[in-house]
Amino acid sequence: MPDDAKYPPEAVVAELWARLDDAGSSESLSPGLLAAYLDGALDDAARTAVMRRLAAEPAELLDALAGLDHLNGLAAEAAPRDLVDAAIARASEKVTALRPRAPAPVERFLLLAAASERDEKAILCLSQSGIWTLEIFVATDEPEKGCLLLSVHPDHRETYEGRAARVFTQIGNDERVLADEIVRNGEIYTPVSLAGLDLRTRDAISVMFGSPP
Amino acid sequence: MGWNDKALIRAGKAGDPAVRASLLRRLSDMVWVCCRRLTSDEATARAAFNKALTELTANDFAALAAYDGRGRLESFLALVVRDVLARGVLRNVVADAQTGWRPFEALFGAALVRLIQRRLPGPHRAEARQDAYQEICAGLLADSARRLAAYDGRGSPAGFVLHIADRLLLDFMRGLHSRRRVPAAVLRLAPLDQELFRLVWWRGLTLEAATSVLARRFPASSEDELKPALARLRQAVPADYQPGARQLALADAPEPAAEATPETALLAQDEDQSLALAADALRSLAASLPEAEQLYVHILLSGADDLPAREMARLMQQPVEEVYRLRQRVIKRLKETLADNEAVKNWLASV
Repeated sequence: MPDDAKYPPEAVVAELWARLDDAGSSESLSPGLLAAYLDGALDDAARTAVMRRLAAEPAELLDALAGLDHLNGLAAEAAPRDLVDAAIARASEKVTALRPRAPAPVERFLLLAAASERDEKAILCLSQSGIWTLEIFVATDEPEKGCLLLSVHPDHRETYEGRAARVFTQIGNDERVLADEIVRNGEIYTPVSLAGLDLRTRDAISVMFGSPP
Repeated sequence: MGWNDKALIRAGKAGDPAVRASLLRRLSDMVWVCCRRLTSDEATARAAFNKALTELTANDFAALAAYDGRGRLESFLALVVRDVLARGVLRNVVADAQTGWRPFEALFGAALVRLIQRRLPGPHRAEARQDAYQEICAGLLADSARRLAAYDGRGSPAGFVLHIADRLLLDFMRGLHSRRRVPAAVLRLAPLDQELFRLVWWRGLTLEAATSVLARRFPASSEDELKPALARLRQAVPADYQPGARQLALADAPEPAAEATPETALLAQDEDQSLALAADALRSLAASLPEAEQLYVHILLSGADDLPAREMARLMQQPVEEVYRLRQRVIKRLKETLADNEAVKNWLASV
């Protein structure tokens, strides 16, 4: 029978673990890569590479175990409003003045459903340039009707004031115009038809601007 | 959704104040939750929140550039914020152990406890776990936190600290310090005095560092109480006191240290050789396995094989049912490969 006093299992496995810890690497898994791995968001090659690292580096495996425990132990809680407001105020002080720029001929918009603070009947988009915000408010009793609000960052208002703006989606080879209006006071606000559109998941919105008046 | 968050981050970097505000609101809740978990009270959490957000927003949200849309932004933020806070407490405890220890322990304490629990499980090991925790803390603080000061900023600070703690735990388990002789006069003193003796005479800690380490086990103790204890110890410890011989074994009950003899030296040599052979065999076996099985071997050796099934599945990125099958395969290969190794028979019988 094995001698328990001589080779206690806990001590033996700890010794073996220590003896296999002979690889020292200057590289380490970034928190982003570890997070993506634990979320199951890596492709096969990336996932296999992470597994290999976790197997080869005890420090990485210990970090991953602690990281997993950390992720599991987080309870949902809203940040104190005063702290958030203060952080926003500090961040806005750091924004440098934007230089005047030539307007892009076509602005393309990205859906920001996750960032929208309005109810689910509104669609919020941001242009890829970051200076235009597009909101579409869907009528509560008629889902194929809505209102479109397109507004520019105040620093760029002068550039676009009075220009024509055509808001459209591309469906196959066809262009479907949602609105064709003049920018006044940095915005366009107009009723639109949403019939046949799937703005949340399929149809991307673009805006083309005309020449200055 | 990953790509929405990525777009929001990109737009936030472009500078629109309204978008920056949206981005900050998006980040805030998770940053707050992490700060609450990793600090000891609300006031400290609020300070940590400001620090973390300052780092996240610095240089136009440069810290968020690493988020590439894979996985959830919440998971990314949770681990980034953990690293930000860990770097701060690590820096502070190295600079000033007395003020820096409590925040360090608030952040790392739970992880240290779990590390020890994996190696020393079971109710009969409760006393050993407490001793181990104390030994690890003492080792981290020893020589002006020399071990912690070695962190050069590269890699995860949590991984760095836990790796050192793991090594200290292994030292403890080898009995490097648990078998030293305690003078009889010290054994007649109160438990607090005896613990102070071990920290000061065996680990070489200053009274300030020992106070920090003892605070967890003896919450009512303070430096004012420990000064008289130190005075009592100076009276009790003989002038020619020597700690005594070390012995390789793991035990809870105090026993007199054995004198080194040719027989015990030979036994230790045999044990060492068996373990070396087992380690070589394990290394070769692991190298021949697919990555998932390699990872499981190391999880087994880390002591974390008792993770709940869903957590194990997440760590290994395998379905729960596959983890079970994989475990059976790995154990079978281990038993086949190491069947004749005396050192690992007990361990293999227990898995």
